[in-house]
Amino acid sequence: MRKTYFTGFLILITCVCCSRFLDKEPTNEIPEEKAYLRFSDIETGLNGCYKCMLAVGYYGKNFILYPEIASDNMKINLARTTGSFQSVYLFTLGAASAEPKDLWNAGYEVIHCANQIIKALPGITDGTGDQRSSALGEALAIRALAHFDMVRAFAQPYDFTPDASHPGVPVMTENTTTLFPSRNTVAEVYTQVLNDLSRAEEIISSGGRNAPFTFSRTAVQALMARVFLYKKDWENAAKYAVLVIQAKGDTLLSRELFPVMWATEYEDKEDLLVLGFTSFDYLTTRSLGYQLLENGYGDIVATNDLYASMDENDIRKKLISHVNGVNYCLKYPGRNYTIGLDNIRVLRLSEMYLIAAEAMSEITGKEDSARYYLNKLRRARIEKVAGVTATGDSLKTLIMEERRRELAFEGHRLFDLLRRKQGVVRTDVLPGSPSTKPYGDDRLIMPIPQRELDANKNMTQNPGY
Amino acid sequence: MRYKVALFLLMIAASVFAQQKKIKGKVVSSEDGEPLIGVSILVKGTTNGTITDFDGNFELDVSEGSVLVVSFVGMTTQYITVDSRNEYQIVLLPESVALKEVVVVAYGTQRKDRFNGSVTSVKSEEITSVPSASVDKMLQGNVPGLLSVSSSGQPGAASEMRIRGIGSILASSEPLYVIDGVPVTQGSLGSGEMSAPVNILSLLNPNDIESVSVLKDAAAASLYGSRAANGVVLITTRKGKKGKTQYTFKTTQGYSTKAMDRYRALTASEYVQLRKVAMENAGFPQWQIDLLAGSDSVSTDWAKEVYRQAWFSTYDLSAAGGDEKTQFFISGSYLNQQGIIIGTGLQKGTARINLTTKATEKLTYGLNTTLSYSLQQIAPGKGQFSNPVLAADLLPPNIPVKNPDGTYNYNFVALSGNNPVGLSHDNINEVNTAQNLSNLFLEYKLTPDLKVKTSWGTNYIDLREKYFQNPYYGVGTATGGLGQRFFSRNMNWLTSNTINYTRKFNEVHGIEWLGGFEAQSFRKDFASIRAVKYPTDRYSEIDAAAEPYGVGSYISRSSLVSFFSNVQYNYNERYYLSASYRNDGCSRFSKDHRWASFYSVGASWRINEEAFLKDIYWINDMKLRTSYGTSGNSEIGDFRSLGTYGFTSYHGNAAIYPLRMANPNLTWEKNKVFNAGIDSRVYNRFTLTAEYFYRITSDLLLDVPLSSTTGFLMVTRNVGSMVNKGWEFTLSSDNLKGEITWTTSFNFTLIKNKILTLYEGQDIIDETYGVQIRRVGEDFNSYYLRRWAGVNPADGSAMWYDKNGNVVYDYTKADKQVVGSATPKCYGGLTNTFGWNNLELSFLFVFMYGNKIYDFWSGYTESDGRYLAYNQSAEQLNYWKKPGDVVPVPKPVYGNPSNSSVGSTRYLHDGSYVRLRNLSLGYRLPKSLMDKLQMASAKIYFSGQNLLTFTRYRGHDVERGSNGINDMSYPNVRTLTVGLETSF
Repeated sequence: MRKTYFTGFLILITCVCCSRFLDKEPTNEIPEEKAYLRFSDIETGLNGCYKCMLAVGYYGKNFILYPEIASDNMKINLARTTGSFQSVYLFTLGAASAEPKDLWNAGYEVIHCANQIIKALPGITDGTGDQRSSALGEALAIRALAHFDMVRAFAQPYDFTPDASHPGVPVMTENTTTLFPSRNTVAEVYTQVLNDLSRAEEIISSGGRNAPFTFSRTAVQALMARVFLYKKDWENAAKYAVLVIQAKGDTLLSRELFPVMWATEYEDKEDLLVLGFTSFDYLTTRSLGYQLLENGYGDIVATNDLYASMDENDIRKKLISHVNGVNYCLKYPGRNYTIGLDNIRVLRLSEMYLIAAEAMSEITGKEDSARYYLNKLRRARIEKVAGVTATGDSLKTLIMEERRRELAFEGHRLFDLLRRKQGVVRTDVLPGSPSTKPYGDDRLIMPIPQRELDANKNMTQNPGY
Repeated sequence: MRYKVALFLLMIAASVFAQQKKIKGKVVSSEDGEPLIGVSILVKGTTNGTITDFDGNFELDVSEGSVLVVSFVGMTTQYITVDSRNEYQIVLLPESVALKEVVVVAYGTQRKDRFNGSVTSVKSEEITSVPSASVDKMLQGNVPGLLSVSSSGQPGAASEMRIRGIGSILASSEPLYVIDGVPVTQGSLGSGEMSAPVNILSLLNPNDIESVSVLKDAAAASLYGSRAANGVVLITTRKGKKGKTQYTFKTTQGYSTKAMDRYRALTASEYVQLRKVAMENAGFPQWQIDLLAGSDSVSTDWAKEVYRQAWFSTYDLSAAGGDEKTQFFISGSYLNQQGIIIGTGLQKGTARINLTTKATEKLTYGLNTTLSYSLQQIAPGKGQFSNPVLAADLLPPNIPVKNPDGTYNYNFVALSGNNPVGLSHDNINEVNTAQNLSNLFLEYKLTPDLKVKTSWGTNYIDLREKYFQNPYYGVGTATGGLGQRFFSRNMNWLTSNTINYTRKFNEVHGIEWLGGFEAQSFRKDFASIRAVKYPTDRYSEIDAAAEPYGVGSYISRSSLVSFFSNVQYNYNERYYLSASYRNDGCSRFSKDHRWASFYSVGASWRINEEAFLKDIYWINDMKLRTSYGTSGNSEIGDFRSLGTYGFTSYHGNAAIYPLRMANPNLTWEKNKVFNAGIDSRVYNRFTLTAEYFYRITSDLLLDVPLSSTTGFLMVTRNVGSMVNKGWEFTLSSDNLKGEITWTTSFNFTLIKNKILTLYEGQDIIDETYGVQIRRVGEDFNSYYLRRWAGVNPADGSAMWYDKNGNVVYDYTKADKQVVGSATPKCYGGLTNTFGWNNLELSFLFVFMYGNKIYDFWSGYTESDGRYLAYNQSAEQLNYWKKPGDVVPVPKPVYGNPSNSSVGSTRYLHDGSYVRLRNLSLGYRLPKSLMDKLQMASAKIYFSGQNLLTFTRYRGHDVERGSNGINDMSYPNVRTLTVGLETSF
């Protein structure tokens, strides 16, 4: 008995210690050294980049609403407020606020993902060479978009200083272990963004992997048009906008289809880059649609002046529901009207008409073309509308007004005002809230998040925070 | 009383001249009055003495004023001063039981007086009259050093247990639970989807419990090594005894209501009136006020709709018995407890068999096994719009519960139409648990001194969660109805093998040695199904849904291998030494950091056996003890050291995203504990234990913030340290003996927590609520808030203090400061038990002092007009009306843009309280009646829980989670029950 017991005991100890009893691996996570082994892993990783863009703090909601609420397009619905975006509306964001923090984190997470793929690609041997270089182009475009979005939100516009030497955001082109990058100048950020985009334009396949849900060459060019516009490189902005317009056959969606488009997966004629949710994992009550719709929270609504600026014959007016003096935005009705399940349109064709018009209105001798693109868009939206004949500054003003109506609630307004060196002027303003913020005001850009300042000794805060 | 008389007599005796005389006497036992034979009677300071004869009588020549020392094995020595009497009747009491009792300790049992560690044992009699579904609710106030806070009154919810303070920042601070030798599965057992945590202890029938031992210091707990840092709770279930089988039937019936009810929301007319005032103050034109203010024609008291009087009943039947060889205990129980919030409750059934058989003189084996099954209906918690606690406070009172046609009204804006009354019928939140806990053991005596034991245990917990949100209104409308099912199977198995050697050498050297090997493996299988778009609210299963909405599954595993040893030595039952060692290997850490060792040393000294105290008659027993040792905490989640990507999907295609940065250096949190204490019994009446502890936790896991530009927000590292130190006192006293008995037991814990190091000394602001800070030199649960300075009498605006104590009128100019903590400075309990004939009355008061509660939702319910879409607290009525008003509430302004309702000390309240936790009055039916009925015993009792609360706090319940934040959690309950217990 004694002997048996001890033998048994020893066998047990041996079994447990010699087997891999203490080696356990997760089943729902991949250890990083096993993440990128084949080309299909690269595609999975690229999909992950877009998924990260869909975070609530980025394209999922906040980055779309922030420029609309911190300007004159949207306001808080006092009767229903849940408290969200209140500090955005009041320009009282602080370094500890959630909005700047979430955007910063999500943006750099996207950049990190893209950099991991750029680093892993040379080690991948399967897939065709074209596939691999197109994947590289896609990763570069993703990296460029995230950098561009960060610099729009956290820095003053490009020509705030003559040589754009004011602080931008750190440019991350590789994932380093040096944890303390300092801020690059806005000029440096734009240079990097445009380098990445022009390289991407060369190597990405024209159709993209899964356009419009992934970058295609057209989408890269559309983004280039926007970046050049922000940089006030009018020639290039016009060039790339026209390139995209022509690639799409210079046709806009009909007036009948335009309002319906917002409830669809995507519209081939219009959409250039769309971020798509799966019906499985959309944001439900934290989503953009739920925030805006009357049968959701409905606590962020359009301003009366925006609503009033739309002509009765303007099909875009149908995208605002005017109930008891409250303007609910209907641009995010949900795919097939499933509330909260909206794909996010990052780049679409109509914006290219506005970019072309704006850029050409700034180039001497191109006003005819500017009016052509503006009128083309207006006719596609407003029934029986007369052609615009204005020139000079009044043409530019008309283009900006058109831009406000067309791109309302899509995350452009504040940035457009800033790059045009206009401040925020609110006509329909809530009692006790700021009605103007002049151009150059510190509060028109986001603060660098406190946690970044704490964790990164080389980081500097924006003035005024 | 007796000692005072003795003292008095002593003084008189000393004053008279000593005179030699012959005395006679008889010594009897206090227990049965029978004479004691061979009792030694010695005149103090002399060799003059005798022993009692066969009838307990003695005769002795003494002088008046001398002191007789009367001693006998197993009895308490008595000192009698000789006075003028010549005949003495001496009654000897059995030796004090408190210090000699046998307690359950790590891997065995110990006589408490021989034990060097700090352990508190609670016997079943002390707790089973408490009407509760689980044992954790019964321990508060009975164990010094244990802070057991019941943060939820949801039937079956767990209490938070903190033994000697908070031991961790990121990892768990819960103790290790060991039931009949099997460490149970802890951590995340289910989906974590709803905020109600699964309480493993509620699956145990409280009536099956024999004792609960709480191991507090290193000498007691270090033998559990890497899991002992937060203390260990050992639960032992009842065993059979040889003899006639005893059947016991027990039932309790009663009801519960809210434990306290200080919060009042506005009525409809008050609410509408406040809205009008706020709109006027905001400058709204009259036509707009008329349009927006609303009507008060309907008045709904949502609290009345949501809370109810809830029924409680239990039934329990057990059989215990056996013969010389085999003993058994078999029990079955059923509990049905309604929650005080509509739609919540718990139904539970348990069965147990404990069996031991002595196959030969040398071989004993047996099985302890229990099955339990429970069904729990829970309420959504925290900030969810469907949380009924939130709804009761926030829903405007001027909307009806039902429409005129009898359907539920959900046509309102506040909380997006989540009508809590309707949801309690039309939504489902159900947790269904099945558990088996088994332990098969075999013990073999190799020699009379040496025995080996092997035991194989399993703990199987199957959890099925079902959540359904109806498609018509409330949260479910967003998805057209949402059905969710989660399946979690948690399995852990254990093999524990020990060898035990006990020997006494040369009469005085006692040695006990234990060696052991243990391996344990945990596995969780999880699967989830979600579907949306339901055709109706009548069918809630996934089959009825139109569209799948997400599925998932994973398996998570961890394992632990340990070697351990413990040795104890005592010299002549006077000096005791002990040492323990354990080496643990854990799969949760990388290969290089997998193994760690833990040890403890302890010593104690039975000081009353020494010559200089031996003759002090009023000291019955006195022991000094101390210990020092280490332990660890590995409750950090299964794969925290690996750098990984997580799986997700993007527009229907597979996708991965970076989840965690690798940290191969991650290791256990380490605890170093010093303990010193004294146990004593004096005047054969008072038992006092006092202990000092000093507990340093180092290598605390912290999320070290990273620059987001790395792609990660943080990495977990072992960087922090913290200290918990304090005093524990237990004093019990037999105030009255005889026909009326009265005993008092009081325990008291003084504790101080301080953070010693954080990563680069940086403060960590708690991100969940944003009102607490972890700062070096401060308490773990410190509040970090702007200080509220009240209302400016001139204009009704809010005021705060800056860091210099100056009043400021701009919120952003005020400075955040550390303003108290959620950790109590002291806590404890006081029990009094009275007995008279067949009646017994006992009551327990528990108290907590010096902690603060933050009302996280007051920003909405005391919003000064900012959130008037929601109902407000009645406190809001005392608002500023005209210059000169000195009032607590600022001028209400609709949509108030001032920051008066943003976080400040305005919503921080004193959370000290005294609560009558338990009161029980029992009547034991007389023995004569029992004999007639041929029953062994019968007892009828009345029991109440949380009957009285004394506090300044004015919220729903003063007992909140250990973080002190009132986040609309389920309030605790007051329960009144009557019970019947019969044995036959």
